[in-house]
Amino acid sequence: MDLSGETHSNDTDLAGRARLGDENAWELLMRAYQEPVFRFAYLLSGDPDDAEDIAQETFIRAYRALERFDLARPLRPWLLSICANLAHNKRRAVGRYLAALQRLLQAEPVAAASIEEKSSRRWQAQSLWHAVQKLSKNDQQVIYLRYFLEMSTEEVAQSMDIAQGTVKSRLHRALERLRAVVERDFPDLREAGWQGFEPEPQPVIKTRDPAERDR
Amino acid sequence: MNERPLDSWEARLQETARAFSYPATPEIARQVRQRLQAQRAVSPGRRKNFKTIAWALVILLVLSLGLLVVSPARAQLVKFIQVGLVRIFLNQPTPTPSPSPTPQATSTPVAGLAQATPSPTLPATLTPPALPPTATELQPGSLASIADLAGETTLEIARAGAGFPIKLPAYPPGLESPEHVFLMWMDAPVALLAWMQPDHPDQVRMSLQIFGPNAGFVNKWMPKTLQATQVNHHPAVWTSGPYMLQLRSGNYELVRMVTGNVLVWQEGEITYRLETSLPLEEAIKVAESLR
Repeated sequence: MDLSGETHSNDTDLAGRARLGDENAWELLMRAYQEPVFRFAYLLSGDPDDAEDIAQETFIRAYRALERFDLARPLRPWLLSICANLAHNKRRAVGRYLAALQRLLQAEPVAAASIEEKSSRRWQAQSLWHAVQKLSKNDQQVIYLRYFLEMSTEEVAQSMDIAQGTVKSRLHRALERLRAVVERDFPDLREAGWQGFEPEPQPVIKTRDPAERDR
Repeated sequence: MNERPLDSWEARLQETARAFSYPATPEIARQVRQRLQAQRAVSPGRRKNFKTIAWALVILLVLSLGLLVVSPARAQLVKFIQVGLVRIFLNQPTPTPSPSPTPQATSTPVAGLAQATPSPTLPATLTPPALPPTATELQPGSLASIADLAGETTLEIARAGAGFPIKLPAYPPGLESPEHVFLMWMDAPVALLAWMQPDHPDQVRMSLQIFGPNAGFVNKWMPKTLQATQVNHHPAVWTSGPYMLQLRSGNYELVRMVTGNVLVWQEGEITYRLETSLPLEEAIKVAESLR
């Protein structure tokens, strides 16, 4: 049963009331979306404290921009687009960046992980995240929105302010680059049985050889 | 045709991403609501642009200085900027007839809090007193100034006795718990946290004073530098350079010389005063990292 229409209708009503100063309405909206916003911020920043800051700032900016927001649009993509901008623009002191990098390096899957650990979905997901973090910001964003937050291509398009066809092509290229990263830098994922890591196939060149046809 | 479909790989990716473990989502909604309410409390009605406030302060300062020059009543004119419980006086007032002395605090101090030696009752004017003969001009950041303070305790006890949250900064990275924690009584509990220099354990690296809702005013006189800024979108003041610091609670007085930089801001009913040698941008990061 598709409740997306009903959800959107509720959001429109609450956003309209929030515009008029109804704090409770805005809080209800925030509660509905604080999890995806925080999770997206965490995926982008890699730091729970930064993610919390970004998520707070996302809702504050959204509240201030509510007057200009088209209530006919869904709220979640809009919030996530604000979140992405903040995450990308968030200035980090060198120390904080290094601290985050250090945590990332320390969290890299190590060869010493047991067979059981490597086979756990949770470990694989963590390793996958580390692999995604090696991609460009745009590649990360489209992968996180589509696969980690499980948004539809339509929602991803709205969030990134691009056409749906562009989302599909960006996803395709991002996944190709991700696959290359995994194959190059994450052998443990392959060992863990993460299927699909085969050598890149040679380009398939289809020709129509008259000699073949006539045999 | 030998093509490896992307779909199976993509499906595996989706399946694995679903298993990703996130940190618990904090109470973002509540935090944001509180911040928005605090902002509205600072400027009720339509929220004002902070720059407008900062310019208003500058204009007020210029007008005040002008009045000081031309007004025959300038001896009575005392202008200050107040952030929370901290008043920063922009000029040094001349003595005025003393009204009734400030009444002694009548509230019962929390058991376990250090009681400073009661000082002679001061008149309720805003005249900065001369340095008491027993007080020494303290070197900035010296341990002696910390050791002179009463009320050293543990963080746990301070948190239990303060009656307000004692937050610690998470920045700079690697910053641990403060080496010294004080809980003082100035009509209400006031916490002081001090971090010492790693290479010079007798020197203060950074100190954070946390004033609860009912603590006495903290007066600062004529800092060399005064700059309006923000901490977590709350108005804040940044001062630098030496200035006289007086704490007035009615039954507790401390006079010290503080050089270096001080960031003062208020969040809700709590006033924070961060003393550090870091530049403003870094000090703001420290302030905004309180957890």
